[in-house]
Amino acid sequence: MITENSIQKFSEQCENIFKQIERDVIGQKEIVEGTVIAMIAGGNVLLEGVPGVGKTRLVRSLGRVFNLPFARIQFTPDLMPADVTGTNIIVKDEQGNTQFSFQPGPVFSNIILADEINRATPKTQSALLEAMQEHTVTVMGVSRKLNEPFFVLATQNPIEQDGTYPLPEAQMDRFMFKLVVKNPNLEELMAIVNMTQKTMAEVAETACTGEELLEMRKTANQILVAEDVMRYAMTLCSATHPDSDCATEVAKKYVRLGASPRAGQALISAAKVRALMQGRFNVSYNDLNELAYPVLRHRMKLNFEAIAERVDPDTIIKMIIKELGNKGKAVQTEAEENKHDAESTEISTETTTEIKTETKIETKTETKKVKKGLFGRK
Amino acid sequence: MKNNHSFDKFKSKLTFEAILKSALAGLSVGLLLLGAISLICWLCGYKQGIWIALGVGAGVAVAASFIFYFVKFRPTQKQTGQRVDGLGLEERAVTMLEFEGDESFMATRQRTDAVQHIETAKPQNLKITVPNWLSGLVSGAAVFAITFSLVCGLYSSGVVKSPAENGDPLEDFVSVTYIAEEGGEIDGETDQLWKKGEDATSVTAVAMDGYTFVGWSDGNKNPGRTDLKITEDLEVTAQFEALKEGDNPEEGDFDGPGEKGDSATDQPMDGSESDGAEGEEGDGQGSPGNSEGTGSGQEEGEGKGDGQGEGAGGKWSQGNKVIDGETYYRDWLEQYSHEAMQEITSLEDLPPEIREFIEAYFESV
Repeated sequence: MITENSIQKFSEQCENIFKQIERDVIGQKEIVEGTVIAMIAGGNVLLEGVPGVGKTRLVRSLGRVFNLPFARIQFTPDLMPADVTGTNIIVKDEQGNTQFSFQPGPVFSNIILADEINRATPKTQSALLEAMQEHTVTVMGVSRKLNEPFFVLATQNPIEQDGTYPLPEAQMDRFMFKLVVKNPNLEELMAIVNMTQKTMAEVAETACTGEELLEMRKTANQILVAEDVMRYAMTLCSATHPDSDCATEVAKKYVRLGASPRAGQALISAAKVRALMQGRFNVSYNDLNELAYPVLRHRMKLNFEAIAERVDPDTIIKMIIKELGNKGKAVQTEAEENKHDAESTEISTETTTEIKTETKIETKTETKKVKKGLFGRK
Repeated sequence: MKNNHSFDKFKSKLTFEAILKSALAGLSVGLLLLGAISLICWLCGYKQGIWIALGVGAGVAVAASFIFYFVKFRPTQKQTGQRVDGLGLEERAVTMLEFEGDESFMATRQRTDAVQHIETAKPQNLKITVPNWLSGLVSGAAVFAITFSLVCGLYSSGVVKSPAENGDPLEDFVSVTYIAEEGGEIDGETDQLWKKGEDATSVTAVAMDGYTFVGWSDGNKNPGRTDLKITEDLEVTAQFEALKEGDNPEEGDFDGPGEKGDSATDQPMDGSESDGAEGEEGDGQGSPGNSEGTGSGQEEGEGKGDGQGEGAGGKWSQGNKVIDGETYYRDWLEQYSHEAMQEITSLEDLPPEIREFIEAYFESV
């Protein structure tokens, strides 16, 4: 049962989560926001970035913030599926009889850090498929349910390709977001070095429990989506298919395979969380446009032309949004302009009305931080 | 939208915008009709057309405005919501409208949130926009209507003419007609059409056998004529006159060029003794004939060539000849020849070879 209290709690917990993670992770606001949105929405996240940018630290910090059991699996070429899922071993009981006993693998945790996931063989990578989608593990014909909430936060290095196995499409599709972790800027780098000189250990404290996270998910699920907005979300996904009815020109030119229906589900689920984080009770076009990047970028298979012309998925998504009419873009621009005007003049003009209203409503606390547009692109 | 009067202020603004668009669309239709009726009336030469066009155009414009408003431009709740969302409300209004009947907690909460935002938004920020296609349509229709209503108006006041009143489109042209009376024909184009001031092509009146050219009906005595700078229709007749009985040679004693033959068959008539290019020269390429007729005049030695050669096939004529557009009058030639022969005869000390040469010359002529 969703109540006003649920909404209030959602806002407070979001604020706490970001505050605690900030203690361990400097900068990377887009990545932190994306990961938290995915975790609240119940999705898995693939973090791609060069070594040393804080991927693993972020995941460890999240484990602390959510106070959830955390397991790290270092993926290597000789890692076997049983090393992930666990296996049956022969044990003797009190009477001395031998019997099979299931020894759970590291997957039986709440937060799984699949570090350098692309270094394992496809066979081992596939051991996570069932866990990621159904949240169950089947070993020797016996299915076992995983603990809830369950997340796989995987990392991969885009540079070192020797001895790696690209993730199969089926597995890629099971990641709600693919977040590209960029190098910190100068200020962030200074802050990181200063912080780690004192201690390398994570200092984040628990902001919410696993149960509270599930509550937050339920609350976010109730967010309303107007039919036009839902249609736009599905159009956005279908537009990535070169041979669909609403295929865009850019998709026809550069995309070999578009996003699956899971992309549509992920887009809406994540947009609901983002809307509530921003103090809205409905999904907007801007939510969809912002989330289209992490949701769609790993679900599109580019063709040779795109590779030859060095067109990356983000560029294609940007062009698709533009081709679909930049819905919500005008709103965003106008709102941003209004905000800038309001901040600069501090007078009660018509342009400041929206901002003023937002400050009035109860959910104002989390909006200011998140509205900085962590997914924002120019 | 219930419980939200602030939504109405946006709706009234959008209604005004819809009325404006409908009026412009209706005006476009009216103007197009005004232009079309004016054009038709002007083309058909109907002087009162401008008033009809103005009346019909105005009536249709009003009617079309109403139709456009109710059929196309009247803002729906959803459209109003979408426009209000354009003020930075991030789809709050459309969601609120869509879930208007939903009494769940989230829908109620969303509604409250949306109403708060709508109340703080100002209708002044909602810009009235006219689509480009409509602006273009109105402009085009206005130009069309102004142009043709002006033309029609000027026509009504007698300043310009209607194409229907402009008469014969061949007004600027003049016709030149050359007619041949009995006894001759016209060599050249008999029916000519020229622009005023242009020159007609040359024609020549050619007399038939037994006739002589007298003159043209306009007094011109020269059989060949070229009318220059014609400004009005011209019709002239070439007049011919039958030669008198005495002028006809009784005997074929004519040595000289024959007239143009008109057939490949070249059969001498009864009693003729043809010496020259009779039948076989009837192909129109014959040399001057040399016939000696002993029969009945012109029948003798009358060959028929194909009309291409000069002096074809042993034909002699009792009449005048037109050679290269120049008329040779036989009676004159005969007179000159006769006088020349008499002179030659009187000149006793003329060397015989000179005499023969002169005689041969006149015979050839």
